[in-house]
Amino acid sequence: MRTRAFVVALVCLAYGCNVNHGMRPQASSGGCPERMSDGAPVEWYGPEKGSDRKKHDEWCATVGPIFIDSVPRAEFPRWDIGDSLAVVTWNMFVGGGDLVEFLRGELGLACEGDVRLWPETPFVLLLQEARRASSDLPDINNGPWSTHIQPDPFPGEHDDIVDIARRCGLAFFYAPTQRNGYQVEDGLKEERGIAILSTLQLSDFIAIELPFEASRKVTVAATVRTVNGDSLRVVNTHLDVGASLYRTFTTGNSTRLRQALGLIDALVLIEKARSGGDVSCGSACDPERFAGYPIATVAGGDINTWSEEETALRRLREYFPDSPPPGGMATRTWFPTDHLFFRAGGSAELRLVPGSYRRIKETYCSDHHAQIMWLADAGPGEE
Amino acid sequence: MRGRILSSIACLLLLSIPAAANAQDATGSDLARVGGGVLGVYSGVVLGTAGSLIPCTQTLAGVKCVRVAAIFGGLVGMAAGIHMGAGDEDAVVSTYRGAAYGAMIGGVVGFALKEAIPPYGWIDVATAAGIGAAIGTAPVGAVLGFAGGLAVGSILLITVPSFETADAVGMGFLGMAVGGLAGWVIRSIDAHENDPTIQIVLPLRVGF
Repeated sequence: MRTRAFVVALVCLAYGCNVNHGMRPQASSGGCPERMSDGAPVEWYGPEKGSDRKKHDEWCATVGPIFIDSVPRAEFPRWDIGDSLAVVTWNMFVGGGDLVEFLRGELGLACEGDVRLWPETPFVLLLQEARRASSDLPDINNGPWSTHIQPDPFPGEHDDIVDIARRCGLAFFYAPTQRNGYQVEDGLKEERGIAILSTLQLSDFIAIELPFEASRKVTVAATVRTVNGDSLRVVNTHLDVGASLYRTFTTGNSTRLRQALGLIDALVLIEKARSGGDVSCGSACDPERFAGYPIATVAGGDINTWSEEETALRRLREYFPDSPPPGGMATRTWFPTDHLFFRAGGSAELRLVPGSYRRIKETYCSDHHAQIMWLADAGPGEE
Repeated sequence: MRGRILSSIACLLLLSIPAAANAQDATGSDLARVGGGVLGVYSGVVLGTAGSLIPCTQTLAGVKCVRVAAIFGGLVGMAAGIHMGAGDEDAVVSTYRGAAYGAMIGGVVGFALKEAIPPYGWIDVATAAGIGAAIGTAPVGAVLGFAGGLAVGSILLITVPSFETADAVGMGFLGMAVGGLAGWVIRSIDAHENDPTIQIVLPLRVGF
């Protein structure tokens, strides 16, 4: 009996210590240029666990600032009655994906060259592994960095995300996550980040540092106004593809699950804060008990899942109950890594357009396919 | 690189050398029971964990499912180890020897991973050695189980539309765990198979 209790205690202790995913609001931190951004105010959330925060600080110190431009070009279409909103998620392979051609081919926006085209309906584009290059990035010194990803040559120009967004006149929210190698080429250093680009005005900027597993992962969120002027929160996330062998083994392979639960925790905290609720519950926050759904939320990103039934994905679908059913299509090699989620809520009467969730066939030189779905206003007469 | 390959081959050859003692002549002891039980718990927990990592993370239970599998593996390993120690001390020694060889092979694999994957460190080399040690306690069962699981998984991947790549790979690791634990159980039964006498125990209370 004693031996059995010892075994149970040993196993539970081993996993229990490593899988805490509790989140809390974060203060701006000195030594981290990103969090000290002088642009529009950004609200930060991050893990409760001290060792996770320490690692985020180390990684954060090697990247540049956040970039925000909340107002799009005036020529872009408004979200009028009868229009649908296109929501797209795409991992662009550290700038390897040809974003300019993607905008032209999939969203009807030609913002370069002699012929200019404006999209017919509004869109929100969630980009992961966006590339930014600058001579102003901090020196790495002894700080951490990710392996340099240098995509094969591709047809478009190898511009950085902020330049493209500005040239196209899109509203955008870009947050760097990690350095793309330590190399300096032509005086330029590179970083990878996550970005929301839209033809609609963005507001209420939030950055969430996810529980640390293998590298620094940041989720960004912003709000757009729906056809009736209601709010729709837009969330862009990117989970780790895997952790070290030690962490994989001692956490029961819960790398992505821990990050997904951390994201859900943070979203619960955010909604509680905005509805005047208690935000001090931390990891004790139970999403199922928090059924206020004060705002409609659409989320997407590179979840890096191996299958469509992975625990992390199931948990996210639970929190986003109005999500489209899995598309059954691989988006990177033979794995279904990229997903979109939706949760109706608040006063916005939005619904997912049936059958609109699909994989975009062309990869535009990225190593991922994009996923797209459409949201429409469920006005009178609609289902 | 050549040295690593040669050392791997050497370890594999060492594994194939049969135990020095004949199990039929050996007997168990209290020390062997404890030793077998400890190694059985360790091996069972590690095999249970390794085998359930992928299958469990395809379910809503996730890490809770991994815990259950680890505890189940530990209990099976403990029972088999104690039973083995009670029947044949040399079988326990042989199993420890297998664990040592497995740890060496695992360490080599871990070192290769460390060299190939930048974020991997020495703790990952140690983890690989630890997993290798567990597999080394029942190498035949683990390898056969892995191959069988992967084969079944591959067939299901081709024939069942909802069966995904992760499920097929998970079947391989699950097979490894089941095969490894089966190896423990079989060896523990073997340790008693050639007892010189049949022992019948009658619970009889004598009092005046």
